[in-house]
Amino acid sequence: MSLSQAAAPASEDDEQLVAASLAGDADAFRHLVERHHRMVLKVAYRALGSVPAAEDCAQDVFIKVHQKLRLYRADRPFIRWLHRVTANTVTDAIRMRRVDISFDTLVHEAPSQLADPAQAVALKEQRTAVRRALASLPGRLRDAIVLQVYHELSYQEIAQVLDIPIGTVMSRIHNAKSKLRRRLAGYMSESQSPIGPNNPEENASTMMDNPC
Amino acid sequence: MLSHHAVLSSLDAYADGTLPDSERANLAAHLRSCAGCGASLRQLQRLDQVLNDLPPMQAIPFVRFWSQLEPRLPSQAQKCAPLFRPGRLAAGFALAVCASLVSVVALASDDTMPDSFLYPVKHLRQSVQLDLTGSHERPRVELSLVRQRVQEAKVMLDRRKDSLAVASLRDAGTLLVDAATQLKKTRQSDTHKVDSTIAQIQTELHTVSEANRQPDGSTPEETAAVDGAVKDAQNAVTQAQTEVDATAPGDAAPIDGAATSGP
Repeated sequence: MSLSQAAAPASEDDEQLVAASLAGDADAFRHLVERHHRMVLKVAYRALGSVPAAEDCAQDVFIKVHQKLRLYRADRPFIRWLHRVTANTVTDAIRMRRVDISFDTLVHEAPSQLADPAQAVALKEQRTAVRRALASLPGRLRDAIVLQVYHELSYQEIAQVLDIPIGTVMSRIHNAKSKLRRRLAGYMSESQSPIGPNNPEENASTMMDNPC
Repeated sequence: MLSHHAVLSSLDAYADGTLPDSERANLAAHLRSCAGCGASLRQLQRLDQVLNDLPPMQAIPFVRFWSQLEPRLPSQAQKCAPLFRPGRLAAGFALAVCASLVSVVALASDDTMPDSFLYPVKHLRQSVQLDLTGSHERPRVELSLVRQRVQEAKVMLDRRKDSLAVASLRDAGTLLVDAATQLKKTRQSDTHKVDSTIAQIQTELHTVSEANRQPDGSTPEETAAVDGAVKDAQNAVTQAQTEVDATAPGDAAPIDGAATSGP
């Protein structure tokens, strides 16, 4: 889901559609949404872990885009701006919403994975812990990790979206992952399958603090 | 031989597959011989699994998504006149703000350039003026505004402010697209005058394009961005010309700069 892939031109490019939308062409905005809603939904779903929450969040993204379209700087690719609005909205949703994974997500699991009720509960618990760990990150780290893990952007692309040097991106992602590893220590054991927390102390001792 | 510090700082990029090939080979060799760093890599890979442990999302049909989104989008009228939404601001407060803005608006003349702090005021005034213009007159006002934007772009290029030049050109493109749409919808009474304005815009765009090609210290990216904005505007001009050509001639009605001056 790179910036260039998402911005692949059809008959009109994104920037032309933005211009037409600003000029009052309602269909142009509809085309923009049609072109990008899958990306926004996918990112929101992966970050929030629930289909209804992802739909709400994706709608919020496009409402913000519609309201702020005049603030978009036309000398930069629209997709870059859209990623930024999406990341902001998603990270706000992670922070604001009650961190819990509803069973609507679990019903999409393969039957074999849900055959064991204990496994289903463990899975739900892990996903709640992931969202809670993400919510606990400082905003600048959360934006960077969400763009990397859920938007699947490269460091270079994240640097462009956030308008920061690539070295800062690498540093933020490194810090974010270090914090997440510590906060998710109970779920980090490689032997854990199905997923579920074990002894965080034991896992923490295998962390990267003193690898060699 | 890599230090462990160097390994740790590169491990994220290695795990993400973004480390350059030259460094990747060295790191891979180190990982083969160092159990600790190998375990650290597996921890990173495990973290990715934990963060991404969700089943694929079922596709949501666009029709459903749009049908829920569309009623939540503010209408054009609401976007253009948020101050007039009932209940949002006390009428007295709005009037006081408007009164204090009158002098600022008066200062933001049509000659105000994009690098002036008054430019947003000029832009807003012209947007409001355009919104209040009837559909028949709208293309003429828009074409006058296009000329202003192109002139702004030229001045910004002269001042080596390429990004502001691009913004003005994009704005010109937006106005031209709308002008073409309006020309298609409304029968213009004097196509000669519209023709003449469009020809002037084409000439001025050509001048901007030539100025952009002059070496002035701009980066190739900046030059390319201006060039792209000029081409987009030229395409929009062609589109507007096509609509004019399809309109039958009639009685004279002038287009002039006065049409764009403030209320």
